Amino acid sequence: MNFSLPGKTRNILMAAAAVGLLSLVGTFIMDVQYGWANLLLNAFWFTAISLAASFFVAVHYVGEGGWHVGFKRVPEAMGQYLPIGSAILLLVVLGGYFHIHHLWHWLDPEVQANDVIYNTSGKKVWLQNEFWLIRTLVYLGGWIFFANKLRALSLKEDLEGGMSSHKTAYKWSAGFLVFFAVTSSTSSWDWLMSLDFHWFSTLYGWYIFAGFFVSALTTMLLLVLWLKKNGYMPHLNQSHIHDLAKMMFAFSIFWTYLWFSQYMLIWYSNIPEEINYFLERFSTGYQPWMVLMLAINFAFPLIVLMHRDAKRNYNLAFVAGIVVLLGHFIDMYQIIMPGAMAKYVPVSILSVLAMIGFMAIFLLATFRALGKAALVPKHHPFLNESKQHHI
Amino acid sequence: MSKATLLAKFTDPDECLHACEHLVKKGIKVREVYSPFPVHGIDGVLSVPKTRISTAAFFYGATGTTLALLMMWYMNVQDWPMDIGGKPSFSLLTNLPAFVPVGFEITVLIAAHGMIATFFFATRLFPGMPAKNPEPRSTNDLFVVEIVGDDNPGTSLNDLKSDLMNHGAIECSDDVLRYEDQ
Repeated sequence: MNFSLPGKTRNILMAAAAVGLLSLVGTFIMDVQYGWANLLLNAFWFTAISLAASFFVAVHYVGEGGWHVGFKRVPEAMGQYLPIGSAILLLVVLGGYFHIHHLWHWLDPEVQANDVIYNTSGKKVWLQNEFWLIRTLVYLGGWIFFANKLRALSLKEDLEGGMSSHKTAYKWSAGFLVFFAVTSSTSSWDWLMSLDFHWFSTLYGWYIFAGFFVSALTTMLLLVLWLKKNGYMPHLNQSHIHDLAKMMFAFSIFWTYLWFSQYMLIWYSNIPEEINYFLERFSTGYQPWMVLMLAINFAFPLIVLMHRDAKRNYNLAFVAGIVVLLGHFIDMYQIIMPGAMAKYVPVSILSVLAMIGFMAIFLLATFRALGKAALVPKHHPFLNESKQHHI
Repeated sequence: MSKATLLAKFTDPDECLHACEHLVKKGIKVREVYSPFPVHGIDGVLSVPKTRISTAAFFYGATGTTLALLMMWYMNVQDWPMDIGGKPSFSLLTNLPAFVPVGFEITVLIAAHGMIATFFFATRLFPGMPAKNPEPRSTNDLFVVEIVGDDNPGTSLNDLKSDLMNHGAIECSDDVLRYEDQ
């Protein structure tokens, strides 16, 4: 069975995308720097979600997981947004490189000439404008290459059957995981941590990864539930939904673990150049947003999704997923804004609308890719295992 | 008084599960299934009541958190106030991040040990207790379905044998019920 997007849903998504883009323009009118910061937020977040979906597919190839095959085309389709997201992200990076904006103020030659920390801490070796641009191209190019490779092999398997595509995909996945392990960390230093370039945290890459992986799993769960509600996934049973919700729950807790590990060590040691990062967030107007974000991203899943029945209740899982996504949007907001704006800017309605607009574009790209291939892989060796999935 | 019992032995968990489904559909009451590892879905087939161990775990965990915070408050705030890392507020609440790791560990410790103790108590499993499984190989590679004659008046255990053999049992043997307690 093939998927086709209902015209009504397409119109709603188109309208949301239009409103979102107008809101983005609105943020530029409010403050040009704020506009760029919002663009970076959405460009990074949705590219990362798309990347994490491809990572999910690769992990299951290497781990020889079979339970996900029934909805494998969903993360595959999410991965097809990567070129679009990468183009937008590249736009923001080029904007910084050509000094159109200074979200990353270390790119400014004047800062590089005079900043003591930049010149004495060894950051100078890594944070070089050209090197930084080349790294960006390598990350984005590499991710798109691997995501498309896995997708192409999966489509080839539909036509040819047999085990050869699967075995090749296994090998490419292993390579992707190695590439991803390094680049998911370094890209988060380059695009996000260097917004506060005086500061550093060795845990940062993992913290960012946990955040966008939860977002990707949640998006996947929402898409699968939506498809199921529209009659597309009859072969998926409660166990699949339970497992997806379980992953959303588990990685929410994992995210909290990393956030707290980073926070507690910095709070405890109280070294000026480290604690400054959290002073910017807890001693300013951002404080209520931080508390709200922690409540949504930790306490909410802990209380609501702990119970087995909650994870098997489709409506509850759907609502919980939307709340978790909002929580991680606020998380992304507090990651980027204090460093990029150097002052307190509350989460504005324009910012939220811009995010919804980007989500609509992301969904349009995903649905487009979803409609291009059979909704269930035809010859995947673990297809039957997935249909029998029972926990 | 000894009760006649039928032991049907399977080597495959799925065949064991399907045989149980078949028996339940026929209206036969299965007393117990002994297996080397948990068989997914067997509790639903046999209508085993839902475990309450998770509720117990919550209360053990809450006890652990409380005890841990009480201990740390007494040691570091009340009895011998500690001034570490420039945080001399001597308050449990404002220094809470420092108390999270220990609080978490003790919560897990008490919850885990409480659950184990509860499980042992509820199933009467203590060190030194005699084994209750009628077929020793059920701890190795056999899945054993136990059907008691008294549970199924009007059914001949002998007649069930061929039916079970058709459903994948490798052997059916007569036995007597040894433990009544569950």
